[in-house]
Amino acid sequence: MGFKDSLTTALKSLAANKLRSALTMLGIIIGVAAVIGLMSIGRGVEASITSTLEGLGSNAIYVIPQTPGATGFGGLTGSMPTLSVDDAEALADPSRVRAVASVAPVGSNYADVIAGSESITTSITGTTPAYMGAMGYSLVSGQFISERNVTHRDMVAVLGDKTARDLFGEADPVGQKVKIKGRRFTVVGVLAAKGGAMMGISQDEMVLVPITTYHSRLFTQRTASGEDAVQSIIVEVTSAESVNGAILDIEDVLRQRHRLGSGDEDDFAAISQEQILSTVQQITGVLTLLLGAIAGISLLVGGIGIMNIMLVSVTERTREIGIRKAVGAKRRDILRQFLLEAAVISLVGSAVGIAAGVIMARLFSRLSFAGEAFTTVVSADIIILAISVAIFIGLVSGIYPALRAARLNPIDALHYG
Amino acid sequence: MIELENITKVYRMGKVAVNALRGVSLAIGEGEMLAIIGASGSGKSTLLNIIGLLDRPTVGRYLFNGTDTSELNDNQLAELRNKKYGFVFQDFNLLPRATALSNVELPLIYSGGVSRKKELAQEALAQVGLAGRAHHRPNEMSGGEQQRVAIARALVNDPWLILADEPTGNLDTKSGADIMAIFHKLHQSGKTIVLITHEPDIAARAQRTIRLQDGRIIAGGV
Repeated sequence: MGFKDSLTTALKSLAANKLRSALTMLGIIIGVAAVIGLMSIGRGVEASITSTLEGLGSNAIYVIPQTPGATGFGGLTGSMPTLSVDDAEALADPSRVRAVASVAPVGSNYADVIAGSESITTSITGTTPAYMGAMGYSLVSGQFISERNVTHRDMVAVLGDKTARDLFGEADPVGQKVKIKGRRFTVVGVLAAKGGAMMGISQDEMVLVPITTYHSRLFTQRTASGEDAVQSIIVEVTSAESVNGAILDIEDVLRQRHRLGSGDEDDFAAISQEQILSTVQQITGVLTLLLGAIAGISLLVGGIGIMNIMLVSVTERTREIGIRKAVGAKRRDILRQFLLEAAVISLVGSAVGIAAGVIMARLFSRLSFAGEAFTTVVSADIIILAISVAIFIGLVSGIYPALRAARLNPIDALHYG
Repeated sequence: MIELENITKVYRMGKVAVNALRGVSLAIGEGEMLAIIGASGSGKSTLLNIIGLLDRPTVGRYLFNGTDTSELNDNQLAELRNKKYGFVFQDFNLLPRATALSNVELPLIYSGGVSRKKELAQEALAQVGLAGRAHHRPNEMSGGEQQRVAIARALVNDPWLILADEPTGNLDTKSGADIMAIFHKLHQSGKTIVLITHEPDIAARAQRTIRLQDGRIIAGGV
């Protein structure tokens, strides 16, 4: 029996049971669509975080407090404040930290910001002029916090793009007043929109104030040694090659300043953008894999559906198999017919599933998560993975019923039922 | 020609062994029309299945034109059934969702390399007087017509032997007579035919009749 005849036979018998074939396909369609849809979300998250982090610049080093003894991200959250503005000043010394270009201390907290009748709760960040360059921001209007503002503890504020819109609509906020914790600040600049979010916090929702003002007028927090505490210090070095050396220097300086003995563990962590990127990519990679695995289960269930239907179909068509064998069908003819039926179901199911998955991914892109525009990423490898798994499962599910059909004894099959 | 030597068939029904055939020897020559009669349970169908290579004997030799069929594997048997045998069953055994033409075409699909399948199938249908019913499905045809489609299917590969298991058993007298007329016509044109029947007048019109009882030929053997 030629391949063409086998295919015709398979297609005919699928067409003879349209509803059943369609329902069987549905299992594969949902599975493939789920794999593509969910993995595109994972990839979208990955891409959005990666692009955010890449925007930070590869010359940046982040210094953050760390609970001694704890490892990984667990040690980095909820720590006691151990870093101070004085630490940041010490790190700015090129004779102590090689290739240092700029240092920005970052104090951060939440407060209500009021402008006229508008009021929002947002992140208030105290920092220095170096922050803008290190974080890769640019201005759309006005100017950034200046050295003079820092020295004079000026009551000035720079608004993030979304914060500016929330408070002032389309009007230019520069020169306007905002109230933070009952104190009036003059808006001197507005940052350009950056998009993306860092750990779920939008990079466009913030109010920046001079670090000195932050400590003296808004949030007073001190380290154990009585210095003004900061949440992090961003150190920029002159080239990407100097990052690793600079990290060693930073560790020396801070260990000395924090009076840590040779047996004590660091109470801070200095990490490069590259390290953050690779850690985050690891996490989002696991997320994508997990989503894919969940979707893979539905694909597996779809495969079991194929096997179930094919087994029912073999039983139901035992007589047909008997007739075919009586008139000369060989084992391989019957095997091929049933395998082709399974293959057609999984192929057509995959094709429809791809379309459904891509549409699903598009729909997800339109939704926004936590107020953030979010773009799913459908890439060829996801689609290839989904189809190969679908076809593999489809064929494996088809093999057993097909073998059962092929092994039937013609005389038993003819007298069945 | 077909030679059966001392054919025995034992079925296992659970723990009980049933001797369906107990040493049947039979020769069927080219162009013969042989009727097999006997009470139900006498082993007629078992014998027909073995002659038709649908089943293998437990003991005994079966030669087809001198070839020992016990030495052939399942695929070779399938090929022999396809090329040299045609089957007509009591309950027609047509594919219910396929048209008359597709049903008749079926053996050709498994023949490999046969061109003009549709034409050959159409010719076979014409031979049984159903040229105009090619595109009807079995459920749109009468029992007699369905059995004629089955005969056309048995003929389409121009087999050496046609086997029929009570071909008129499910038909009314008139349709049964039509079917038998076709068999007689085929016999006259030189086909070898073996058929099982319950009806004495059909058996009487066959060239030769054997009677089975308890798995043995009690009349008309070899």
